[in-house]
Amino acid sequence: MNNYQLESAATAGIAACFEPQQPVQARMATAAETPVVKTGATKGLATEDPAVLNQSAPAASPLLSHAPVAAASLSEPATQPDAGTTAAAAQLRLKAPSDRWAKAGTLLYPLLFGVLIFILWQSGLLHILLGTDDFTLPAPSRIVRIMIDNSGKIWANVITTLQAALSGLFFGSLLGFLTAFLAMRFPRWGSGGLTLVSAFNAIPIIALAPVITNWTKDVSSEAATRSMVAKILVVTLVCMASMSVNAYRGLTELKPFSLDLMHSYGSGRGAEFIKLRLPNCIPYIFTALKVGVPTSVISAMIAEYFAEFITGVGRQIRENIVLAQYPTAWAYIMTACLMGIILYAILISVETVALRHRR
Amino acid sequence: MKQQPKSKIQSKPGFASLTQAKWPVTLVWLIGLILIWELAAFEVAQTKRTPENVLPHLYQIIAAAFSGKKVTNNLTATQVVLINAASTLLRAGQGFVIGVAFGYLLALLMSLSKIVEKIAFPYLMLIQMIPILGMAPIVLSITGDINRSRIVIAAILTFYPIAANCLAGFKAVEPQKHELMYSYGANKFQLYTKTMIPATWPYFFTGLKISAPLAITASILVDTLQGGGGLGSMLSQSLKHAMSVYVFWLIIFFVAFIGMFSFYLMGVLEAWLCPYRKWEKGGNEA
Repeated sequence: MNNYQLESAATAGIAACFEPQQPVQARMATAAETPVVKTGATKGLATEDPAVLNQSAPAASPLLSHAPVAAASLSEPATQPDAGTTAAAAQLRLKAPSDRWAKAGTLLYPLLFGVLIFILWQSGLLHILLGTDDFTLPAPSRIVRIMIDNSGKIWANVITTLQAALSGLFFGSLLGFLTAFLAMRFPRWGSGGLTLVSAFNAIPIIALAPVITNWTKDVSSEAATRSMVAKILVVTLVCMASMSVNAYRGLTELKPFSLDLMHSYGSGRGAEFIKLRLPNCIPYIFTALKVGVPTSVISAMIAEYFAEFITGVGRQIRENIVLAQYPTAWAYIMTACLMGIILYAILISVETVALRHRR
Repeated sequence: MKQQPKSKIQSKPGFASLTQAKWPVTLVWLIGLILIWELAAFEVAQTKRTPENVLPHLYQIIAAAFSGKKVTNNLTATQVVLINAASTLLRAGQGFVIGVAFGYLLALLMSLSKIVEKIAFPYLMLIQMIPILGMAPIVLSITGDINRSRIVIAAILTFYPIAANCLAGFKAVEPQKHELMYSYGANKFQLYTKTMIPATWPYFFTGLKISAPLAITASILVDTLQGGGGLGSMLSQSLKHAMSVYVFWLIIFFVAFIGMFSFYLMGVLEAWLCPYRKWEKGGNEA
């Protein structure tokens, strides 16, 4: 059940790496507090209620149970606010004298590595290392030139892929949230549905895409429209699972006793949902989206392979490979990577703004 | 889904046995899905000229699986699927193992050295964004062998979830544990073998659960790119009506089953290798 969160544990970390302006402490806190690294202990330490600590003890990580530290760490009142992760501690130690250097390094090292690869690639050394030639792996300057020369055509393909990916992501997230809501509202029957939705997630896209293309043959007489519908449906199904699982956690894994507090205020289900569950859910929704955005782009491209209408970045990669037009294919591969990265960057900035007032 | 203590307070006493009586609920959902499929199949059978292309009845698919009719090259449909599945899954499995090994190694290196982590982290992210099929011909030209390129691509896809999850695992070790090990006078090797590596197992298995279906998808996807055996090329052949369309349906169901089974298998493996994680068992069924 927690696979989505954990995968994004890393992504949350990456997000943190990309925002060097924020104070280290705050960054690590968000990384630790996201739904992600949900070892009971981090949660327990973040909240300052001793009763809470006792309560979360049985749910704490199993690893704690055979390490003598566990008891100590849990019974200790949470005085250090940043005791979330090892990394936090490590970062903190770094912080004192050479904080600026640590930050600079975060940016500098990957940049240097990238420049190194670029030089190797452009000078042809990479080709010798990999035992390949200039045709299968064109130099970056050539790829960029092809991208500029064909910018109009590439842009048109980007648009169709983005349409499929984003509308699929939208509908998938909506349906996923709805599933999570129903599962929260009607736990007995809903959680069965949730299990089913996540079982769907294990079905490879490769099995879904051709079937759905078959099913949508009658949607429209126009190949472009029905291909688009098929692609959107595929992306919807793929994105649904991570959203439903994450949103369900967001809606149900509330802060201890907050529900009791709401009851003691005499609030109805509506107020409980709007005031407590929904705000609690928002970080989880972003976690789901962090998984969903790259997945939606990739699955839109895979759906294109099986679609009737020949359009989209993914399909162009394939068509060009079939025609042995490797340089053009490379231009589309680059475009696909850029697309994913830009979408992800947008998501991270939206998240930073949306979760600004938390923690 | 883990049953939280607080949701027990909230739910009515009759619903308290939620976790115990879980399978009938799932069963009802499954029956519901089968019903929907069959109803749609009836509708399609009435309106379409070739209903088996769009939505055959489930019993037709099952019948096709057990029929002795030769589909191609003196092989029945089931034989076609199984023979091709063997080669595809073998490659997926090899790639999976290689990817797991490299992914874990990288996570370990990243946790050992801050510089490696800083260098590799953004690029780890990039790997996720690269379309798999895009890499196939390049890998092919480098390895010079289709089978080997399938393995490599499955490995690359497996690599990311494992590395990312294990890194999260290394980072999730509480600082108090580090302090304890320090006070015991443990050296780096002991710190890793006694504390850090055991702490990553849950994360490692989560990574395995994500990447096992991915490796299979990768292998099949590469099949569709080039001919010469494998589930993927059978899939595209039967889609183009080079053989009975039921082969297509059999492959679809087989792949879906294998995908879910691989996920389940990783859960079983986890329960077997990490029996102390039993408490979380409820959380693993998804």
